[in-house]
Amino acid sequence: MLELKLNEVTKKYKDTIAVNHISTTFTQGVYGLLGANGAGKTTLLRLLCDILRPDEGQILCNGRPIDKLGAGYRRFLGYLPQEFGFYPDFTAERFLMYMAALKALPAPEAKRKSRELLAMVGLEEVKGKKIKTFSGGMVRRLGIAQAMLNDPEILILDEPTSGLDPKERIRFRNIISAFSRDRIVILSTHIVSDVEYIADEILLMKGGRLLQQGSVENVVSQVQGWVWEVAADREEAEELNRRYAVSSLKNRGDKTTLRIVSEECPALEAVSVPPALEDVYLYYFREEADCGC
Amino acid sequence: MKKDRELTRLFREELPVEEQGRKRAMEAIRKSIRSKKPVCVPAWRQIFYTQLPFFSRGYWCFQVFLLLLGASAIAGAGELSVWIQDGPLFSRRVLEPLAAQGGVPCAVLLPVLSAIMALVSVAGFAELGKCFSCRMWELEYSCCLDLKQLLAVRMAITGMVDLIWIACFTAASLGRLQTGFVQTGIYLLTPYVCNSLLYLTVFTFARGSGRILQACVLAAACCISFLPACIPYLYEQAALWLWLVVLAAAGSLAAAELFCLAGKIGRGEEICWN
Repeated sequence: MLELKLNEVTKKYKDTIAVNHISTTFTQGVYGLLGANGAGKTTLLRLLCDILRPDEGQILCNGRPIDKLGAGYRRFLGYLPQEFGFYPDFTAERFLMYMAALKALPAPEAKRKSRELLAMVGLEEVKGKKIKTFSGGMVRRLGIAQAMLNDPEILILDEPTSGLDPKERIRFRNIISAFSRDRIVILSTHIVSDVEYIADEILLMKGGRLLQQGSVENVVSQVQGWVWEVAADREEAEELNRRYAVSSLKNRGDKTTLRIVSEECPALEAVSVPPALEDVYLYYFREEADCGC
Repeated sequence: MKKDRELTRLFREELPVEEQGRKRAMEAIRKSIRSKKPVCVPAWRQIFYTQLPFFSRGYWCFQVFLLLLGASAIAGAGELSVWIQDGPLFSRRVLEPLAAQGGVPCAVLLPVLSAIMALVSVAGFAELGKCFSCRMWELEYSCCLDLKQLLAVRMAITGMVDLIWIACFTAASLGRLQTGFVQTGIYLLTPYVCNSLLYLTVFTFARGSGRILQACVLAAACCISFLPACIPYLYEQAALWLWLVVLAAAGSLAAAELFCLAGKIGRGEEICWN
């Protein structure tokens, strides 16, 4: 069983600290990396893939630095970058065969695995078509397939569900859940529901730092007692919306029901409700949500 | 030998096979085999074959087109010579001493072949840059094969094609020029290495700077090819050392840039911009 350990890992781009002294350990399970844009998620994933070298600290795989392991480490790795590139004139099947060759899979195994994965991600019927004719969702599914080609022990997925429709996202979640047994799966997203159901642990990142790490229940319990529901008339609802972090807003007749995340009780008639992961996200990333970043 | 056989026979007779233990051992072996990943360590030759599909059909077609263009330039070298001498490109002052040498002057045919080689080089670099433009480098970086290996193999393929073309052009123009094989090879190789250096510089330091810069570099490459033609005395035997110096300098700079590029790749700087 693999263990991936980050020891005070820091990465800077000129004056910007993208990843700031992060220390954590990944063992088997699904890890959901949550954070707003610019939180340092992609940089952290690139560091984990040995694409970037940390300026400070070390990343160890079973106690050995990954940059020293080189190809021996990348053998265990499956990666889907945020901006998944492809050669547009390749067909889906040829692309997977090409990627399998880069992953040093023997040709018969590569062929078998390509067919299996194309069927799994629902691209079997279009395997002979050029990728440039694919929709965004199809390209993303192909990206997921290529990441799983070498049956990786460590699967790193950067925004895997962007561009997928709800049905495809559910299918993706099921694939990951089934795949994650005895493996490390790290997926970054800012779509909370993607990780809420499948992640064993949640990591919240902001400004290059790890704010929280723990099971969904543990992370959610951080805002226990700080989530409120209140029914207000239109003017009052607007005022509450301005003053507090509102995670949902529903109009019911002439009243509006607001779900508010706040340490203080927002209104006399407000009722405390059980928190969800989305409330935690809103609590930590309210500024980003407000500025629309 | 006989003793060994006897010992084996005795062992077979006297050690009863424990069926349960054997089953357990076999199961453990099977389990161990299942847990092993079927991964091979590819040889350079296999990596070479892996990278051949990377090159598009367009690239190969263009290469064939350039080879045919070069062949027709060599075949029609006499006509080309007359056309160039009648044209506005060179002054009579430049061409008259060359015409006195007899045959096809080097300053007429070689720049044309050099310009074709510049295009060969451009096509190679455009193909090498495909993994950047298609945003594939990050993905290729995370694979088992080292990106430096991949880039080295791709450069070796394009370089090999280019060198074959240079050899073909040199051999085909042998009977038509006053220079020998090695000398003609140096005359073709030097502008080619200079052009490659120019492209490598753009590739390494000014990546993503847009099509205008690329067009400027292409124009500059063609100019480099015709530069020696403007000073025809460069094709004289006495000036051969100058070609060798330029070739060595450009080759060293190209090697230094490759080293720098490899360092950048190693640090992940070439692919990550945010």
